[in-house]
Amino acid sequence: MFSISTQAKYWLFTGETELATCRAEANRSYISSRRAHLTDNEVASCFLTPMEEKLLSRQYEVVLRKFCSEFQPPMPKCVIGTSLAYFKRFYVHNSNMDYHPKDIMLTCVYLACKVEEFYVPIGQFVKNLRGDREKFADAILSFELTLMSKLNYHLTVHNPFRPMEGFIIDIKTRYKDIQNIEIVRRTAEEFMERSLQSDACLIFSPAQIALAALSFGATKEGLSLDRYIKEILFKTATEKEAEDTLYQLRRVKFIVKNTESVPREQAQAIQKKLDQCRNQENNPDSDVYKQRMLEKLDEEEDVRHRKRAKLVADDEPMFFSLEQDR
Amino acid sequence: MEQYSILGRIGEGAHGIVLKAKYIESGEVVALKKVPLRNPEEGIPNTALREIKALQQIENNPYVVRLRDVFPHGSMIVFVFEYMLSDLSEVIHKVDKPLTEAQVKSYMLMLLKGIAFCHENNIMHRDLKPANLLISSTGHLKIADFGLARVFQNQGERLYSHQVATRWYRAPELLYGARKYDEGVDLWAVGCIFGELLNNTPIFPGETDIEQLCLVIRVLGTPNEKNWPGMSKLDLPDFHKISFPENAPIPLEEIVPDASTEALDLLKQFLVYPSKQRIAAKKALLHPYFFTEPLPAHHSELPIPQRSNRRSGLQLKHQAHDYNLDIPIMDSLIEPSLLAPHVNK
Repeated sequence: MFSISTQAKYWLFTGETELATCRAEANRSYISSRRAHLTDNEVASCFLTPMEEKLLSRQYEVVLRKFCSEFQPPMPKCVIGTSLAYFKRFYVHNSNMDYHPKDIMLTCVYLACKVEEFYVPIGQFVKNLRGDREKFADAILSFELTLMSKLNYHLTVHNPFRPMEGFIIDIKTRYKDIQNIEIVRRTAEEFMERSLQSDACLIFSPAQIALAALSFGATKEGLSLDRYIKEILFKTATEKEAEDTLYQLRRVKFIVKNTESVPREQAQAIQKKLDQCRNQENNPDSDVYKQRMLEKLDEEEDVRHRKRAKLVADDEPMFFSLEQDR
Repeated sequence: MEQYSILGRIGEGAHGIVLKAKYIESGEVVALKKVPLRNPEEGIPNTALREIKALQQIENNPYVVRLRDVFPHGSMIVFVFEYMLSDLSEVIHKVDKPLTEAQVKSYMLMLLKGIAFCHENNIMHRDLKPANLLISSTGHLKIADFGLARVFQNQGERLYSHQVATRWYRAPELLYGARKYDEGVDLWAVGCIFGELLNNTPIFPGETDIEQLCLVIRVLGTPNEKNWPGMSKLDLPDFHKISFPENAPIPLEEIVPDASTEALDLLKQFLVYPSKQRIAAKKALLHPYFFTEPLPAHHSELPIPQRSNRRSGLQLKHQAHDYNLDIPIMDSLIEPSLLAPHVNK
């Protein structure tokens, strides 16, 4: 049920302004941790601005969708929706400079596959990528836990696809004014596709997005759902509630319509800048990162050794020490 | 992890070890379940993801164990649960006196309320058994271990694994290898648990999968179109791999001789072959069984055995009815408003 979900509780923001504030804070906190003595001008030329971060995220959302649409075996829509929701949620409180969107993007898709019960073994998953597949697999697996904890373990995502089917069935059964609601389906689906490229899923409930998509499609066909909404859907509600919903639908349409694609050259320029200012500790290609992974491996090996030694040493049941697990 | 001080070991589950710990900030005692990423090739195990999803979806139900937190710890995920003293398996097998009818009713009531809530939220547990029904220090029963839980969709398309549920509580369709099944598998398990509560011993204790099927068939009779309408249309991959001699059912009265008429009537509605005919949890809650004397016991009248802990030398015997002179009398009185939710409406 959406109303009691973690999505409704923790991942709906009031609007673009609140999202921008959160993202600016993530940007500021990353820069302040490493700017040292740089002047503001130098900071602006070295680090990504919140605007650049947003464009970069958008760009990678496009890449993510392309990756998903070409994925073999073909994946259900909800996996794409969930991957994008994870990706967007991740960069509400984290900077692109801290975690490169390239790594997070793939990890989002991999986790979404598992959560949506569309299980693809990692080996098969990375076959969809060109390049050093083993390296991709390592990166995905190493970021999985980070991603999950940054999402606060809120894994269930409610997508607008099912509500849309629900509304179509409801309109067919209860709203006789429109006989052939199926003709709006294609435009409505296109609208939903476009909504995936906006912040809509961080602001509106899936049902609102689905209804906005249908209402958008209806308008294109010269039909209107306003009466359906006011007289059937909100029959028992107050006039204000119906008006509020209509207002929300207009907001959805506004936000979705205003999604723009990022020009290629601009995206490339931002990426170049990112290579300079990204957090090397989270870069699987960097020496710092490799060093840290090695240390972690050694540590685990060490713990295992100590455990084994312990088991041999205390054959007689003594006090069971759990310190070793720390 | 630094926020918790470990107090001891509770046990080892299929998915990792469970520790007893104190949350330092508040002093609350919790259970920590450590799930290792045992399969480094595939990352975080599906079971862990499913457990998180299921538990977040059914948060704040009094009959489902509460997931308080999740955090990574090295290459492990740690689940933080409220600490529970015992489980129903210990209650059944370790309590000196057999359970009274009122106590059995009370457990069934709590179990059914929890299951009804899960099913309403499209979650099938798939591994119900007494050991997964935990008992709190107040005697409440809470469903735990959602490692096998699945969020189900009523679309009839999805194939599920039949290797779920502990054998004694596994529904016949699972024993026959069905990959398409529904929340009825939980209701079968509820029936088995009910029988076990009434008899103080499991009713279908099969040693192997084949013996399990044998035991079920011995009681329910050989499955055929009459007692399992539509079975030939179901996809039961293992059905023709094994056949049993024609066998007439044994009346449940003989299996559970001491049960009341109402108890038997309810039990019969859980233990039937067709999954769709098993009584839904929500409906079972309205069965006359729960409204005839003796009425379900209040939770303070339920036994609370202490977990038998091999590692800790000191065994504290917990007595529910002990009077302690140092406790203010107000604390022992029962607040009617707290009782209200447990009263049948």
